[in-house]
Amino acid sequence: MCVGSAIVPFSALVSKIVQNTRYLNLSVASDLAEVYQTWQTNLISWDVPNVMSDLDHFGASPTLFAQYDLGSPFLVNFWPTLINIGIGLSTFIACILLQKLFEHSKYEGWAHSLVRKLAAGSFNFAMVQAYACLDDILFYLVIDAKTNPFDSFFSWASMICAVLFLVFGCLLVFFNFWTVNKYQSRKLQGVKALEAFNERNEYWELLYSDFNDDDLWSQSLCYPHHSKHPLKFDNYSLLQLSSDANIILGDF
Amino acid sequence: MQTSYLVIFDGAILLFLYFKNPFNTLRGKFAQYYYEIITLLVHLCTFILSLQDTFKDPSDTVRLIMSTAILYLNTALVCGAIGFMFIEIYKTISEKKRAARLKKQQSVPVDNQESRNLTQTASPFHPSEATSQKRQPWINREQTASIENFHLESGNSQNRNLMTSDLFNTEESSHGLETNFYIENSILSGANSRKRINRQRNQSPVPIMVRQRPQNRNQRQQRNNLRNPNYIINYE
Repeated sequence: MCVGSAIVPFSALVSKIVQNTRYLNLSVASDLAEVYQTWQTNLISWDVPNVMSDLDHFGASPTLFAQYDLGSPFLVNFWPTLINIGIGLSTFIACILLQKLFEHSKYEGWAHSLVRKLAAGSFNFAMVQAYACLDDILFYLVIDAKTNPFDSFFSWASMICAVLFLVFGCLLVFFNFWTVNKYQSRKLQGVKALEAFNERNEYWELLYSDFNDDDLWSQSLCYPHHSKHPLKFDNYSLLQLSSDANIILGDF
Repeated sequence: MQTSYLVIFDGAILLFLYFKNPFNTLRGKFAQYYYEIITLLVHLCTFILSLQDTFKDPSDTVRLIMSTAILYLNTALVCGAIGFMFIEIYKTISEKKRAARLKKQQSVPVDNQESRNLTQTASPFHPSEATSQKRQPWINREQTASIENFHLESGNSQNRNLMTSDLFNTEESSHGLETNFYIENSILSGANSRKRINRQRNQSPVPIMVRQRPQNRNQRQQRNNLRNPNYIINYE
């Protein structure tokens, strides 16, 4: 079963790249400035819980970001993406458990097929969210680090979460590269080994199935794409030398 | 300054796409080029905007043009993404349909086997094991599979009639042709057995494939070594 196409995550990535041009400190026409205000970078938006807002004693985020409703704590900024990834992953896990149950009871009816499709869909959704948020993690981490007072549980939790998600993002990039590398070595071992590998990595097919498998680099387009993404600093303000961005950059 | 980096990175990714050719499918390639070119154009616009911000007297017209271009490029990106999604969905559905059709066709070899068994039972001169073994070296497995799995579309009734007349009416063809259903002997055996075979064929809508036998064994061997034999299709 195919878990979808890489076109979906790439669409999400490119949309984000274009939308993030608003963080460039450019003087644009009024039409574009209005549109910048209305652009929604999250696929599905979730309101930040009031409890979290009450605990926010962080310093003010620069006006350049604040005008696009960006807060200071990592958890507040990352909340909608976090919820989306959580929904995708929990649905995927629930579907896998149901599948196991069906296999145990040797049921192969329409419900089994539906659960398989739902598992693939939810995994794809979670992957799209994860792919698209890698640069955000770095960006929000920098804002958090520069505005965090480190005086409460929430402030520490926010920073720890930021670091954990940064590690998770790096692991995802590494895992993509590792999966493709493994695929290449299995390809040399023969068809049977490759088939077994594909069967085992059914849900990770997204990372390598669409691509030309002639060599490691042509197959791992996601890898340069991932690398390009944080390298490009799509949230360019990290490199901005404007007065606002200096608040963020500071000693960096 | 960073906008120039962005343009350089976009150019690098386009070069990567061109030289490494990472996508298998045409739609994948097209989609990726489309996305990357739009990104490059957007970044070129931002580069021009940032460049003209450094001027003492920036032009409002250039700003308006570049801003409008970014807006239209974003619209093109969204429309393109939706279009590619629809293509993807269409492809998925058509692949599923094709898979279902193939699954249906997989029942054909089973039917063929049944027909063969019926024919062998019906024909008093059905080939022995030894004859089959003799036949095997020059009918390789792939060719046999391709014969049995060959799917024929309806609508070639003219060809069908021609083949039928060639097969049953000429003495030469009765010697020179060999069917995949081992019925050559039964054809030679006369009209009664022919009727019987036709009756059996009518029970199954499966097309019968007939292979032209080479004139002598040397030629046959040469043909096996050099090229695939010709197949003549008999619709029944």
